[in-house]
Amino acid sequence: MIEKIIENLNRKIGTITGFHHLKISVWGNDLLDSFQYNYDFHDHADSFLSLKESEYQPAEIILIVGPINYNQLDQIKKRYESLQSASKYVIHVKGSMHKTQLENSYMSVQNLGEYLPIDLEYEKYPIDIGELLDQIIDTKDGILHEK
Amino acid sequence: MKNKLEELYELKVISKKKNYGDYNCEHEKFDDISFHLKSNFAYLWLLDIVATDNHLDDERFSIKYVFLDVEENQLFSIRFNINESSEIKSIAHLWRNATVFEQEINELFGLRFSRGYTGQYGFSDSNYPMRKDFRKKALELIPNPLSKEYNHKIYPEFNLKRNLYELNLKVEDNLIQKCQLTGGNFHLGIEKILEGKNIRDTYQILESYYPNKAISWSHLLSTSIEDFHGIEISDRAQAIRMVLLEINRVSNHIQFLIEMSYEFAIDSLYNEAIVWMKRIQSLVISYTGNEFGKTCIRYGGVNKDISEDWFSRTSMEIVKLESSILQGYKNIIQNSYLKNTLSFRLMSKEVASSWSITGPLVRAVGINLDYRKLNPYYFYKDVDFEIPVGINGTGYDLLLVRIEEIFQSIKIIVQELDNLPTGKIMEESINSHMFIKEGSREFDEVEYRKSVMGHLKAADFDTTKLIEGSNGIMSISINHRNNEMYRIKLGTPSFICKSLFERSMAGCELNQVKPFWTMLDIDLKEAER
Repeated sequence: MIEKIIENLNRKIGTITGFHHLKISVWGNDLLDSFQYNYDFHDHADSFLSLKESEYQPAEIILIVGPINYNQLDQIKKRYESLQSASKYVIHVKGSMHKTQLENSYMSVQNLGEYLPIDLEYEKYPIDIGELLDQIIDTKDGILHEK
Repeated sequence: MKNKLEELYELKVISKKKNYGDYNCEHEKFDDISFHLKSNFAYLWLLDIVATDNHLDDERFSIKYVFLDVEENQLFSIRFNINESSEIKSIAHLWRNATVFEQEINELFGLRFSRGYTGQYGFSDSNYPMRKDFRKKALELIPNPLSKEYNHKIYPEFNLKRNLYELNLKVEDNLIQKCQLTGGNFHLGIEKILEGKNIRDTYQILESYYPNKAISWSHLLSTSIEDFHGIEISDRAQAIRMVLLEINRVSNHIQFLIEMSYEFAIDSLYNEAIVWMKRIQSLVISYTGNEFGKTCIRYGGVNKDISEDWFSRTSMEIVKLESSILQGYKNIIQNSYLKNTLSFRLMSKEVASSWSITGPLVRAVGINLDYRKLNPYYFYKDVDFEIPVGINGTGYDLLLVRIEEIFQSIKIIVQELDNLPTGKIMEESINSHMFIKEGSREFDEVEYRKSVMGHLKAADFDTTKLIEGSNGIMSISINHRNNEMYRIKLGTPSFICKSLFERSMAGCELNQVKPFWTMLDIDLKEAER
């Protein structure tokens, strides 16, 4: 019971300070536009910017925003395979262009699910960053709980 | 001068308007024409090379060169048709930025140039994506591996950009020998996506894929259609468009300041710039409903009128914003760290001219080139504003030019809002579908939709339009046939700057790479498309 309370408290502090203890590897063509230019982004900027993955801190979550091409896919796959963490998650935000618009494209990856196991799909666009962060935490918590 | 050229080389006039001429010539003569142009026009910018696949014609491909004569204020294009097997004479020895365009045409259309190019995406030799007979299922990608000579890598500091590109350098004794940007991550074939789309979808796709420049792209698309069909938009719509375009410029410059201050760890500026950005965005949101200004500019005028509330709020906010930025500006000039870091020289005037560089970058170098002054559209000839020009051509000059441009844009917005004309915001014939016809008792949604779609049709046209964007001259070349986009080419300043950066890094010191890259403010999504 006490553990639960402490966990909730941590999460509450995390929401206030923007620090969620998640190292995120971010990819995708819509990344800069959807986050940087988002009206709410700067309220949550620390959540993304301070949580850099590095050699010493490998990412736990791969976040893909918007369409990606085959060049990017190769790199994401390599990164996914190189992650040592036993619990690694892929989150796909669909982004600015929907499937029918991308039909003509020769470089965009149409069905990402065929190449990578996707744990969470977020379809809302423009992104509600607060909601997305909550969903990321919930997904991670849920999978941790199952283990 | 151009009339002489017309006679000398028997150029066929396709269309000729006040500030734009479209000519046709024979392929064999183009080599002489290009040499004549370069030697007789001191300030001739090559803005774009557009290839089109007319797969039903005998001479299948058409190549169109878009030039801007900066001295005489003339935009003109020269085109010729060629066969698949012909070799095109490269003009990269005359205009250095031609390498970038020619390389892209070589890679995406499979056309041969007299200069050899290697592809960066790795398409196979038999299946070129921008050709009309491209087979998507047969697509094979064989990317070129990165050469092992690169011994140093630089990653962006900004976490969101961290995985999107890296700068590969070959360094010897702290001097850079070679630089290559690992690219290809942003190439989505947006021009292919737009092929076959109607005007409505084109607006939507361009605005969604480039939200931060949605206003500029929708404006370019609208003016292309309006200009060709002779649609004259009302004074009020023109003024509103000007206000929106300048707001867009301010917001892009502030975004640059946010990124720059993050890269150089200037926290005070970062925090201030975020406040400025939010102020601007809140104005755009209250006008258009989204922070990017999407769905606002459409052909025939603008979709939404300026309300009294928005008008008074904006007039007040914009003045506050100006004083706040002025305070930030004073802090920046006192920051000696920034001045020292950005004291590197950007490039010479000759390099800027031979690469046809535009925007704040060329002005920082000392060339007074602004398309708003050169060819004043709307009320730019009536409003009072100045073009800031750099003296030393350093990175610091570029920063100051950008900040000064924010003040000048605010000046334009204030003048426009003070003298906002009255009248309609949408051209009458286009707007008519908004009203229910007399005699019809009920609102029929199906009829209404048909009517809307009917009005979104346009006749066949082929044109090129320019606009002074926040980062340089943006252009759009449209070939519209049978009510759909046959070929659409987006010209962006980032496309040239990316290549210029790679070449100009040779011989520089290692510590100059990051400041130079940051100051260029290259949008890779626009560069690779």
